Amino acid sequence: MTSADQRPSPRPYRAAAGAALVALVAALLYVFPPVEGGVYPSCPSRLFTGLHCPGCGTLRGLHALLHGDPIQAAAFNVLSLIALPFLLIRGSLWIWATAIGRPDPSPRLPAWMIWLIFGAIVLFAVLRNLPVAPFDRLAPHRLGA
Amino acid sequence: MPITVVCKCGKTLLAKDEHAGLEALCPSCGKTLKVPVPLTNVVSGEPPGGVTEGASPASSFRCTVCSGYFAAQDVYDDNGRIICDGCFEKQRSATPNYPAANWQQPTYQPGWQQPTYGPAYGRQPAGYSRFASLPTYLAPAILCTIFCCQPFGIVAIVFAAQVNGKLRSGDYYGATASSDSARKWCWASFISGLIIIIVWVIIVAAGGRHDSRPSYYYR
Repeated sequence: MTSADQRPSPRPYRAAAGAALVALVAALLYVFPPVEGGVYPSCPSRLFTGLHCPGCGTLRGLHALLHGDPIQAAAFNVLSLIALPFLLIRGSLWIWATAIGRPDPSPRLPAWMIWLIFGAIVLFAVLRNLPVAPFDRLAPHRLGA
Repeated sequence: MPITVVCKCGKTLLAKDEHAGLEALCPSCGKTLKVPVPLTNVVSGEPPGGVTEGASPASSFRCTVCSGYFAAQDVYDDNGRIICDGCFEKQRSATPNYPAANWQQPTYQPGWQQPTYGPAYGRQPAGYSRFASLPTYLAPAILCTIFCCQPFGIVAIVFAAQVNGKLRSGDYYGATASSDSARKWCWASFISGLIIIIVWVIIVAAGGRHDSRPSYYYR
């Protein structure tokens, strides 16, 4: 039942805007390091609760990754490093499909898999805030310091 | 207009309008199933003005193909989905070997009953194909959760899981509502994050708090 009138129309400008946004964010992250006195605001939830949320360290991790240091990126936020390739593939598929007017080709994940992702994020959030020996390595930290 | 419910055992049943949202027992397999609320009450609320003249909001349904609104008596649904007359005809004419006009409105009698459809036209796959592109917004939800520090994103992930779970069980109304919720939570997460960042930049720019960055930056 793939009749022509069900196909979405091509939206090259929208796709280009998406790609440009990714490039812009990457360029900003490459040039400006997320450190003290930098251009990025401090994470408010970290400041007010004192806890590491599951996204804590992502900016610093991406900066490290863009400068060719994936080990340091994992030390800042290992979850975002794992998620990044999936999101990049997903984003590229979206840009491609939007540009030429195809339905989104991404596979539909079974519900249990999404619940697994949910559980992993929640577990990561809890574990990285534990001040006990193996788990405190999940909190954002700079290597060799 | 009775509500069509498809039980997980494959039985298609009809329910009274006043039973919308309630639970009932399937006479075939004996399991509990939920009678869906018609889509307008769940997702879209009132139809925007000008789309359907003369149709009151309560009697309006939304087509899942063209998103247009139409009156309840024009509903043709097989797998619990709603499609308007025009879109049905379009799909029928676009598909070779499509059974011609062998469907009909179910004749309603009190209580559960077998609907008096003609031969089924592509039962589950046909019903599913119309929802195959229903977005879960999983990628933006994850993006919001672990790339923007936003707790609202985790709520969107829960709704994303609900979308695919409900699609799997044939609850297309519920899946549409969950997809809608997932989109809203993604936007809530993104906008609240944006507001917090803007407020923060203003505070920093106003002076004073430049040295307030937590110590983990220096580790």
